[in-house]
Amino acid sequence: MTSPRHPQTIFECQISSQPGALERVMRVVRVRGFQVEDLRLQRLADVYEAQLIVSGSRPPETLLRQLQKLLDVKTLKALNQPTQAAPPELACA
Amino acid sequence: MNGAQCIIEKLTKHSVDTIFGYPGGCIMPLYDALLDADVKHVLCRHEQAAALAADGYARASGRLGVCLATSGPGATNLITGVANAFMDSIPMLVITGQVPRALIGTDAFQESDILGMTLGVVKHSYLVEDANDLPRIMDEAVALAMSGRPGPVWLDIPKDVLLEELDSTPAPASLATESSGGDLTDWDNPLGQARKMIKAAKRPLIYSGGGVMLAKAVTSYRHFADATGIPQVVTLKGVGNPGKRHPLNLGMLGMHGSRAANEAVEQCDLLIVIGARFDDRATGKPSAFAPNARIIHIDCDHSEIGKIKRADCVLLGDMREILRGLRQPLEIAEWREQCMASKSRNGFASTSNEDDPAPIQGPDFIATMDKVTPPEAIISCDVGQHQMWVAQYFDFNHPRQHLSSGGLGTMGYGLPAAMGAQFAKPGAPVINVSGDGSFMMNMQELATIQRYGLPIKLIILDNQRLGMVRQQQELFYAGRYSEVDLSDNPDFSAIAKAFGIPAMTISKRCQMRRSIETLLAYPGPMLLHVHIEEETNVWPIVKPGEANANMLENAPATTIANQQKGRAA
Repeated sequence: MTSPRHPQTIFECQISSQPGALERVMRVVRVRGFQVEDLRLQRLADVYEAQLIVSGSRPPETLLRQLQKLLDVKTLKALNQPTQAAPPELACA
Repeated sequence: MNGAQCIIEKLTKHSVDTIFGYPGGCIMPLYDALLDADVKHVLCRHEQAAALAADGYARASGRLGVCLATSGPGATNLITGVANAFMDSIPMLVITGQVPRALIGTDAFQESDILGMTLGVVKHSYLVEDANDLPRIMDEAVALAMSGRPGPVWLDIPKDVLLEELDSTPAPASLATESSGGDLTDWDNPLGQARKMIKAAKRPLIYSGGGVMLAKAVTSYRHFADATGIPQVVTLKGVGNPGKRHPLNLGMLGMHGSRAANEAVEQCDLLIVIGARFDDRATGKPSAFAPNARIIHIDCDHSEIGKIKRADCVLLGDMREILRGLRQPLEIAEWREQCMASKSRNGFASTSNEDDPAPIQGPDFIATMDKVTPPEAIISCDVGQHQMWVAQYFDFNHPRQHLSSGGLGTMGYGLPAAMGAQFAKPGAPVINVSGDGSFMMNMQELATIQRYGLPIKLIILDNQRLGMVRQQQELFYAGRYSEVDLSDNPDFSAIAKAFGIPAMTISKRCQMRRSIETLLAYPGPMLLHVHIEEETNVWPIVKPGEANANMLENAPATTIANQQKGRAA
């Protein structure tokens, strides 16, 4: 694993085991501009218990909120305090 | 009762009476069940149009839009329409057939991984693996689509699940809904803080978007705006929020916003963002947007807070309650007068002489339409220059009367959206304004209009160009025009007539008013083909990524020189 250039955020979450649930979480991480640094999960009954470490230049609290919106994400918390970063200057189409 | 019959029963229970779709192999059990149902199915001629019609139905009415299609190409054709609904937060239920469970993953005929393919364009989705789950999933899907920030929810259902008999005692329903974003008691303090910020502001400005309509808060919004007398700017989806002819509505902001609107954003010391999300077309360069203002952000979706601009005060929750709590009289007469004076100088106003036999310019036609059209009319449009002229020069009474593809910018949206709106509001005049490029993207739906006798009025503003692309190539690509020439367009009047729809063609300003009156008076569908001046641009324009302060209101001298050089060569 290459060393990340951006601050890391550790999320602990319970994700539904419904079809597509894990893909849905990974898609949001990618699309919102973060990289998965580490992912550990274990299936317990009808949920996965997961620890997800991501890095990225955008404010991690925005990713937290995007993930919280997913119906398949049953619980979610950031274990370390997400870095307060200003919203980025985004490129326009 | 089998899975298909269960779906019909649930649609009826949720008061869905109109759905849009196209049949095919794996969805046939549901079409079979439809024969015995009280639900009206509208057969569109392309699945994309079915999804866009469901969008128009939902947007015009505030009810759930429903579309269905078969597996594989039927489902993939729906995707653009569903993405359109997702980007504009339109409540939609999408139902597709899938190959039988045993064939999933075998590359079967018309199999596609629609769940995986659509993850990015839905609020949620289900691959239904057991018919006994359908009662719960249907209830949950409808509730999710309609609650919180609305959006499309997709059910992909294998054919054998549609045919499977349910157990006699279905599992109890457990409803998942999205909360409206906050607990009312949570925002007591932010509300007080916001009231103080509003009271203290010398130059407050409202920036409102589509969230007002989605929160069913148009009336509360207007009470708030009128109680405070704060000047307003609107996004493309917020057009109509202030109501027709509101003196403090400075018009649309952003890339094609009025100078009055963009300057007010530049000058304000407090920006009250109501159901808007700092879209790049509205803000231009975010760091240069509202540079002198503190920001109050009112929304129901906490993921929008701080996404692009940091807010000084956040109010999450029921917009109607929040706006009620913020009403107060303000002493900002000087700022109001400044904004109104700016509007009279720099707002959108047409100076067209309707007796002039000169060629028609797009903005003049829309301004004439605005004068002639009854206030309850619903106007849909496609995407491009005509779409911006509609937003700039047609003054809407309510946001639900303006059907425009905001987030996705879907060419071909207007015609099917107009169909959906006409089914939702059978008594309302519905007009679709298209460009010549957009019209051809879904013109097969003329057959649907004719089949159901929908009295939709169809206007094509024809400049024989992909006008918006041409405009940007003129201004930002040194006049190097690439694939924007549509001068070999077909005869649109003849096409309409081939579908049994009468048509007129005009090309002079003096024909505008009478032709629109004729169109509106005609009892059935009719098409008006309008030849417009070919190189009229949408002004102002802000170059993508630039600050809104740098708006152009005419072609720069270098561009004009390039054009002249090109012509001379």
